[in-house]
This record gives sequence, structure tokens and C-alpha cells, in this order.
Amino acid sequence: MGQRASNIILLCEDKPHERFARAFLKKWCGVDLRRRIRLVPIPDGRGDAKQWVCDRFPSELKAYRVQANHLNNILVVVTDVDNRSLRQRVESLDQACRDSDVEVRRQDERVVFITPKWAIETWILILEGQALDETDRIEGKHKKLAEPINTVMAERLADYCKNGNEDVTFPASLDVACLEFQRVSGVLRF
Amino acid sequence: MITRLFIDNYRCFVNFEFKPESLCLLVGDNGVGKSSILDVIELLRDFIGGQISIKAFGSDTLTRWQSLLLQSFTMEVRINARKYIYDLVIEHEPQRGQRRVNRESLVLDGKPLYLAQLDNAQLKAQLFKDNHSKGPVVFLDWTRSGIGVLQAGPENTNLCEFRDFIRRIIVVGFLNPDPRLMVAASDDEANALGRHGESFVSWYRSVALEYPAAVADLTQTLRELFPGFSALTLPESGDKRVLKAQFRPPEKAGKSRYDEFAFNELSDGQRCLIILYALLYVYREKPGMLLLDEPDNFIALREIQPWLALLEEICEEAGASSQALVASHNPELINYLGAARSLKMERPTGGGARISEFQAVDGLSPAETVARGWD
Repeated sequence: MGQRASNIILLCEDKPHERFARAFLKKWCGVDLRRRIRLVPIPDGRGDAKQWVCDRFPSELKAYRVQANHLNNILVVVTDVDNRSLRQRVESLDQACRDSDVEVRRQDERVVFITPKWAIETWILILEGQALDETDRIEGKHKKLAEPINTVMAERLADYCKNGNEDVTFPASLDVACLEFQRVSGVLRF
Repeated sequence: MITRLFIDNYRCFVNFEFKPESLCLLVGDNGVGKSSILDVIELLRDFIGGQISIKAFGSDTLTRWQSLLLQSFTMEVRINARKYIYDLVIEHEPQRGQRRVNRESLVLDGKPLYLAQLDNAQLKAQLFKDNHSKGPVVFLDWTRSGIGVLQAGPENTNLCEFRDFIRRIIVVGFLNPDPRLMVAASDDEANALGRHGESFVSWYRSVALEYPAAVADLTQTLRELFPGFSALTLPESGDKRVLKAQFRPPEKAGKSRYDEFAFNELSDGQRCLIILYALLYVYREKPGMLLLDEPDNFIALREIQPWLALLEEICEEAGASSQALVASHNPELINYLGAARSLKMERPTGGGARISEFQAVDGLSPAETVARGWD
């Protein structure tokens, strides 16, 4: 087995999550990973996307484990925390596993949780200089504001996670996500 | 980008209006008009561009269940935040197998740039200058687009801007990637790619000179796609050039020289992938309009999503200066672009085509919703 990531399975709620994750990974790895990233097709936006990620996670985790011994695969899960705590969001993923008789994620697995609070747009707007807090509810207006700058900011966030040299004070949920990526950084070197 | 297309009395289109976004997927059953929309834009491109005469709008293109002999097309195009409206009315005489331009006009932000109308059995065209003041009146051949034949000059730069945009529209589909059509040798450079990629080599010769960055990106991508791939080359062969793909031989073969394969020796899927990625990288350098009719045919399942991700990324980077319309039945493609980017086409009771927003059924993927139909 080589040292580089083979497949990166991306399980996320919506297009902004996907765009963010792709740009973040590209910047982190320094190469275009388009052919290594497999997006789990996102359902239509009308349903509860968070619930869908939870429902889908156990089977993706099982599939990851089947291949983990012979592939450097990575499973990246992106789900907004919203009004809950980070711990509660991770617990909901763990609970979904227990409900499906799947062992919960272990820290030594290449399974990365990206759990922005309130939402991915919170990180982007904070970096943009907006006076926001993690607990500020992100709605339509904010989402629209964040959309066009998503990719550029994702790249800056990747820089921050790798080098930590930004002047802005980042929300705790981003620091947690950075640690998650650092945990699997060994296979994200290209 | 094209912001509105109106078609009346052409095949299955009767008072049909289409308002595409910058990246738009057409979904629906066979025979509902997905490819026909692309056909109409291709026809208008070649007609306005001066490549074809009105003969291409055969009488057999009139809507069969109508007796009306006038066929109408309107195309609204936004270029650099300005709105052009192009109108074309064709008058058919099916008994004599003839047809002629009844009316053709071009308007920029509500002010005229060109107006031709039938007048006493002649096509009389009023030309306008860029400042919309009246220019000369000329009598034109009613089988051709006046816009397509006018000489470019200092006082019709707006009309030429519109014409150049239209001429650059690229239409590609792999409904029939016949290896005999996709030849490896090329006599000359060409701006057109051909509907089935048949002029790819000539087109590639042209873009390789003009967009070296696109060629570098393409080479990098092909190295990831095809194990052992090194480069595309265009060596001379007599008075032609032949497109070849160089591959490193397997190590155990003990050879140091590259193996070369002519473009037509590659597999259907490899050729389609080369064309699709070349298109995107050139499109990134020079945004315009791409019409893709079942581009996924012959492409391995795992290669569809990466190519779509690049298409989406490029469309977002280029903003309003780019547009891609895709027609496809492929579930992989439908699920990736999703309901938000899709428009649903149908022909209730076999009548005129209709187009509307597409929403997946709650609990079903977009592709599964399409597969179950909506009638």
C-alpha cells in the first residue's frame, strides 16, 4: 500500500459543503485531487440534509473499513452543527452507527469530521471580516453572501489549518476540524 | 450567455420558451426535444455565422400537426452586461420545397442594430450604426442571414460582437463517435470541432498554438487518466499532421522509446475523454458557450464526476461569460448536477414540448425521480 490517499469519499449536505471541501483539500495537498474525490450524490435540497448525512454515515463507514486495509482511503464527513454543540453533532453520527450495528468511528481511522458551527458560511464570513459569532444563526442572506467567496476562503482556511498564521481569531469548531485533517495528514502529502 | 430562447413551429416546439442558467441540465424521456434545443442553437449559430443558408431549415422541420407556414426563433443573449435580442422568421412554401427569410432583426438594449424584412418580394435590410442611427438600406439574398454576410467595420462593432459570440458556440455530442469520423490526420487548423468531434484534430492544432496553458493542463490530466501516458504530439506526415498519443512502454518490455498511437487507434472512451477535457481547459482560457449532447456516452462511470466537477468549477469561475447546456440520461450526471441545475422536459399527450423546473421526489435521488417519470 502506498503512502498517498487513494479515494477520498466526501459525504456532505450540499453544494457549498462540496465546494468548500474540494477547495480545502486542493490547497492542503497542493495538487488537484478531482479524480481522487468521490462525492456521495447529494439528495434534492428539500429534505433534511443533516439527517440524510446521519442516515448514510454508517454504510459509508462500513464501506471505508472494508477497503481500509488495502487502500489509503479517507472518509470526509461535512455537516453543520447549527444550534447544537459539536459534541451533540458527533454524538448523532455515533448514535446512527449504533442504531445500524456499526462500531462508532475510532480516532485511529482515516475518517474526518468537519463540523462547522453554526455553518460552513460562519467560517467563511468570519475570515472575510464579518462580525459574527459561532452562535449566530446563519440564514439565507448570510449563505448568499458567503457563496461567491467560498472557494477563496476555503483555501485561506486550509492555509490556516496547516500553518496557523492568520491574524483572525477563529471559532473553536474550525480548530477542531484542523486537528481532524492533521490526524490524516500523512496520507494527504502529494 | 443565452438568457432566453423562443421557438415556434419547429419540430416539437410550439410557442416554446427556454430560459437557461449558466449551467443547465436537460432531463426527460426520449423524444421530448432535449437534443432538438441544441440542434436549434447549432442551426442558428451556423445561419447567423454565415456558414449555412436557409435550406438547412427544411420544410420537414415544420411542426407536423400545424398548418402554419411561418417558423419563428428569438434568442436573447447577454454579452458584457448588454442584452442582444435576435429574431428570425422563416416563411416556408412546402409544395415548392422553398423557404425564405421573412424577417430578421437584431436589437441591442432595446435599440436597433439590424432589420431585414420582405418587401415586394425582396429582402430589404435597414442597417444601423453602433450609435443606432440609420445606415444604408441594402437588398439581400433571402436565403441567407444578413448578419452573417455583413463585412465588419468600425461602425458595426456591436453587431460583430454578437456574431462572434454566436460563432464561438461549441456543440458536441457523442451519440455516434464513429472511429471513421474521428480521424487522426488533419490538413489544417480549424475553429470548429464538429458535432461528433470529427474535426477534433484540426481544432486541437489551432488551440494548441493559441492556448498552451490549456494543453499543459490537458497533458497533466491525461497522465492521471491513462497509465503510462506521456504527451499528445502532432508530427508531420506528408502535407498533414497526425495527432498521436505517446505512452511509456511497460518496464518489462525493456524498451526506452515511447510507443505511439494515432488518435483513431485509441478507444472510443479515451478519445471522448481527450475531447471533453480539451474542451474544458480551452473553455477555461476562453469562456463561451458549450452545448453538450450526452457527453457521458462511452465514458467510464468513475470518470464522469471528476469531469463534471471541473465543468462546474469552470462555470463558476467564469460567471456570466460562460454557459454550458447539457442533455443527458445518465444517472451519475443527473445526480451530480442535481435537481437545482436541472430542467425537466416533457410532451404531454404527444403535443408541443414543455420545459419546467425539476424537483426530485422527497426521498428519491434526482436520477431515480427521472427514471420513474412524471406522467
